[in-house]
Amino acid sequence: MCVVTLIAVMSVVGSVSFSAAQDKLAKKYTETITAKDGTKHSIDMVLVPGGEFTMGSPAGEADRADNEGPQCKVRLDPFYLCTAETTLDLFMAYYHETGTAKKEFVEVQEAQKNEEPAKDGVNAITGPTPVYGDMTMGYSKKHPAIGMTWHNATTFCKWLSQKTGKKYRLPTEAEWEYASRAGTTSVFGVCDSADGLKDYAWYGETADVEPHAVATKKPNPFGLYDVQGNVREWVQDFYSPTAYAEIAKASLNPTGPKDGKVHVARGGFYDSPAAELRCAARGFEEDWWRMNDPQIPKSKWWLPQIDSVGFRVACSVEKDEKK
Amino acid sequence: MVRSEAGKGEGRTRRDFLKVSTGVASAAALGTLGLPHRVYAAGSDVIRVGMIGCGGRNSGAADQALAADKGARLTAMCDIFMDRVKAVRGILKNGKPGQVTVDDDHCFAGFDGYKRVIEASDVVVIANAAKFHPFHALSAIEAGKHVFVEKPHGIDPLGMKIMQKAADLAKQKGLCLVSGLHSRYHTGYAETVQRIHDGAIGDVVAIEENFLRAPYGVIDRKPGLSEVQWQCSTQYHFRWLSGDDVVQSLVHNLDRASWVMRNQVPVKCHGLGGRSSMTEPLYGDVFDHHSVVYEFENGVPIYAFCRTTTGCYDESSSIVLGSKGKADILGCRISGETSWRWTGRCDPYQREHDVLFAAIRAGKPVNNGDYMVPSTTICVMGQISCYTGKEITLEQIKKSDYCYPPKPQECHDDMEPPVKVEANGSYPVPLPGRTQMI
Repeated sequence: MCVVTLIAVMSVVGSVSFSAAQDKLAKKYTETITAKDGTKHSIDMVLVPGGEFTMGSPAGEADRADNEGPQCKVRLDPFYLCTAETTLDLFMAYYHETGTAKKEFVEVQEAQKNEEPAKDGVNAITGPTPVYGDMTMGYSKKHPAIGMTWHNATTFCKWLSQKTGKKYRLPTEAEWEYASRAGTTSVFGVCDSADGLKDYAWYGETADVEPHAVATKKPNPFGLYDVQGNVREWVQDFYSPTAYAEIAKASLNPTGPKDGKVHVARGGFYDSPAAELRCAARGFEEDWWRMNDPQIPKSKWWLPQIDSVGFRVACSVEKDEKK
Repeated sequence: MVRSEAGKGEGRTRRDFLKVSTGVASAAALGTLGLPHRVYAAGSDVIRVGMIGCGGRNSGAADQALAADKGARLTAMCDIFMDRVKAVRGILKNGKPGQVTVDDDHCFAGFDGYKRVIEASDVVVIANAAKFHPFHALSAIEAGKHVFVEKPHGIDPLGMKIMQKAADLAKQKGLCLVSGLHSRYHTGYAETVQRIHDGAIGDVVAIEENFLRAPYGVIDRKPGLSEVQWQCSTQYHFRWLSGDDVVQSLVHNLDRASWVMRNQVPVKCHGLGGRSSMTEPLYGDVFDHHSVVYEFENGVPIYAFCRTTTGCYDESSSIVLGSKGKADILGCRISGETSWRWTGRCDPYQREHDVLFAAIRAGKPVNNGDYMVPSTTICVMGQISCYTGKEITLEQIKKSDYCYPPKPQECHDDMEPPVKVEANGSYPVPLPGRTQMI
């Protein structure tokens, strides 16, 4: 069923050169990661076909926010996306392997280097400082990993890349929306009206005010689970309310504003109303996400007690795969 | 599981204060005490805030204080290390430029800096090594200043007596004394405890408390520091400064347990503890795991566990088992015959300061002494039991003047380090069954 859907999507997209290159790419693969302690973890990745779509929402869409426009045509290269939000199981393996018991001391100037890009290509990834309390917040290993900053999520991706030799990263905002629309023009991707969400999404009507184990609802037409709801998903882009005006100017693979204060987190979460689950809805980090961190400077790595944000990984297609 | 975002529409600006105790000293009494007593007109007068300790937590507390009241001004700061003072001043000024007015003459370093800060403030926020909390709080109250003091409220039996004296004196003088035991300021926990008191889980049968995680605040030894300075720079890892983990970490857990039991202290306890893997000098002279069984007068036990070791199972929980169900305080939920969950949002750290400054403005002092000392006492008795391997009773704690040497007022910049690395390359730790303390 998945392959039929992909073919249908590719014909809608209609770009011959994309199709030719993409035929050579694996439609999906399973990545197996061996943790330091020998345990094995696996994630399933599906190919999101390259193509063009309209990002944002039309003026008439119910519950539309201004930051969802102006609608713009976006072209994307194919990329892989994980079928599920990163689980606590896998995220804890990363934490145990890379975490440092040592705190950057209160050479408090260090805190002002918060936005420095983390070291890349070094033998060992320097990972998170210890979480105060426990990162599971009482949830099972199959629940999505939660309570991490954008910086922590991107560091996870660097770790995963190093483990596997592939280019794991967060999806861009455009990639995320494209994947959530899954080749449709419906409001929610999986359906056009809120009535249809129950089978696909953990949200205000279905979740009983908590996140759930990943991949237990129905997947969207691309084979992706929990795109709508469960936990918000970090994407690569900085947030700007007027980002789409710039995105419209990009020819291919837009990555959002060059600068910003906070990042975008898409898809709504377990207590969202249906309006937040629309493919066009744009969430982003809010001040109060750090309110349970009583320290100054605030942690680079953790949003204590925030069980509403997580992420799923994307993987870039290797250039030579396209030949 | 905290309901992190639910309850939209509540908004963080809503200020519903806990009841504040109303113990305003009469003008006559104040006259007798000879106090300069300032009445702060709402919004107009400046309230001078001083920081004793410039670590991460006190920086947060100072920021929360400034956020609580537009008239609050940070006017004095001290820490063992001057470079911390200056660095933190810079960061706080970036955040709240109009409210940080500390000049260089009001930046103090060393063990005696607290005196100068108290002089230059109306309110002090204290979050330095816990050894000094009772003594510095008392000094501030003796000088007629309001106090916010972080947990734990002391680390040894002598500290408990000093903190009790501070709490009593604050009440007498009509000064505010607000505690950093943030659970009490968390509306979700408060509702959960209220429902327990109202019978939602029947009679309390037992309480389980866990705080298991990787070590907190591990700091590399900076070159050039003296041994005392090094120990101060990594104070969580030295008993004489921090009181070890039951006192530092389980205090929040044990405070919640005591709260459930209406601020009682268990009558006795027995504990096990030790240091299995964190033996390098970097980890100081503290244990890395503790287990304590407490018993209240009515027989209800607390089973409490804490660990500071990497690579292990982590859990942070406060579970109350009752005859009709179970309460998960951190998750703000009740299950069993009753099913309930809190779906709100709360910043207890900000509330501590919102309440404090509102109380100062209104002239209606708030005093958290009724639980500060009992909750910390529970920790102190458990820690001593883990160290000595003996059963410890509340009566023993009340009768003891034990203090981790040296006494706080005997600490000075040229002091000898109270502990040193031994020939085997580690700092010595107590030996259960052999070490005697009280």
